[in-house]
Amino acid sequence: MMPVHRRGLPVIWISLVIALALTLIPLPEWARTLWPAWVTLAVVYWSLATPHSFGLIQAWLAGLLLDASTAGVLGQHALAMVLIAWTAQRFHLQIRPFPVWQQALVLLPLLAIYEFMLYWLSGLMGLAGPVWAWPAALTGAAMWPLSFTMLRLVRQRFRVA
Amino acid sequence: MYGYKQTDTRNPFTGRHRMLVLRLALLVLLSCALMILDHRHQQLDRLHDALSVLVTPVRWAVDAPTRVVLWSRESLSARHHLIERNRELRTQNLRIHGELQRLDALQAENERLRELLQSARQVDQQVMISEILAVDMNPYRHQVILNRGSLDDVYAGQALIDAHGVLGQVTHAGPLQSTALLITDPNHSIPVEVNRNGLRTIAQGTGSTIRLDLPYLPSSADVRPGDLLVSSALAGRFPRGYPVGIVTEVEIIPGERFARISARPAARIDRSREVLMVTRRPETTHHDVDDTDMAPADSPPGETAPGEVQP
Repeated sequence: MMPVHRRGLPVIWISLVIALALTLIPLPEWARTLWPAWVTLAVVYWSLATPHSFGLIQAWLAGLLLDASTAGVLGQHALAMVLIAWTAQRFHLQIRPFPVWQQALVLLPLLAIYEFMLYWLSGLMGLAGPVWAWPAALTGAAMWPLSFTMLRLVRQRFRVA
Repeated sequence: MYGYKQTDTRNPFTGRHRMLVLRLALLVLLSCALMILDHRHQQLDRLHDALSVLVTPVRWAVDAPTRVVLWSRESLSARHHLIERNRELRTQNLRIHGELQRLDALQAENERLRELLQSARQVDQQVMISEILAVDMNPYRHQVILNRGSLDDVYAGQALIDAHGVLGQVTHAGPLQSTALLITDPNHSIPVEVNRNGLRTIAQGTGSTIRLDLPYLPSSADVRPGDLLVSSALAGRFPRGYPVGIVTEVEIIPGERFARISARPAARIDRSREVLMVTRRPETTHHDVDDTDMAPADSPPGETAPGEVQP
């Protein structure tokens, strides 16, 4: 039998894959900078709620998967993701007691930094074209209450600890 | 190290946090190493292949709704529509066959003339139909995922065309799916020639699906709006003679050495789902790829124009 804190891992990964599928949905041109970073939202949720079963390595793997599915340079999303996951885990005790809307406010700068990291790394590698997708941070923070509620339902239903 | 211990989390400076910082540092370093290896040296093909197989089901799932819509549109369309469409296609087929006969004669004549001139003959080309998956990726790059991979003999550098012109090239061929960069991506350049007078230049993507830029033509160049740009085989990557775009605007600025010329892509960049992958004759194929593999995968070797050096 798996140890208690490992039992929820399949559930966590299924939620991450669903978030990945959401990210890949084809969108009209105007909506693309507004589309929230769903995988990051899920990673932040699991880092806050179950920091002992969802470690940094898994956040990093989720970022790597995102790199692969967006046909980007391997390591780019992974690096941004691991920084955000670390911040969430480091301060999970401080953030967790907040009401959901305050958590969304905390998330806003985190998501903005995440998008900025992606933009900055693209610039560093000489890829022309990208801009800082800060609108995605706004919509991401706005989507936090929804994803929080959904993922909490999942966590309680499947008893992920 | 994973076990939940009350004492650990109360004091922020005990082992767990130090472990966390250590792990963060390691993962950051690992990410940087990956990025450098992948971007500068292109040495992670195996890892790319493995990961691309891993995300294949996700891409299929995302593409599924589009597939269902197309399928239902096909299977639910009325009989008289189908008959009408069929008739339309038959007349079109007849017309194309007629044109093809003339083309065969022309090609034979062309080959005879080339033999007379003792110049190299054009290589045979094979085409394979593949589909673009309805999957959205990085919003700032014009990339697409194709439903064929190296198991179907797709290779990096393979040219992609649709019914109207050149679409792009394969940048990475995974086992089941491959990634292609479109000619409108801001990092993409394609060697072209003006069909009217054979003037050679480079067309760069702009990030807009309806515009290409031709930044390396002097103000005195003989280019007019309406000129057809066709691919030149200069880089050895694109087959020669496929339409790339039509010049839309020629702006000559007094005092500037280069003209500002833009073109509209001939291919339907954001509307094609079915595309053709052009394969060179097998024996030349592998040789070609080996030769051009030194260049970064996302910039064709034609991209040696001034000021276009990637850091």
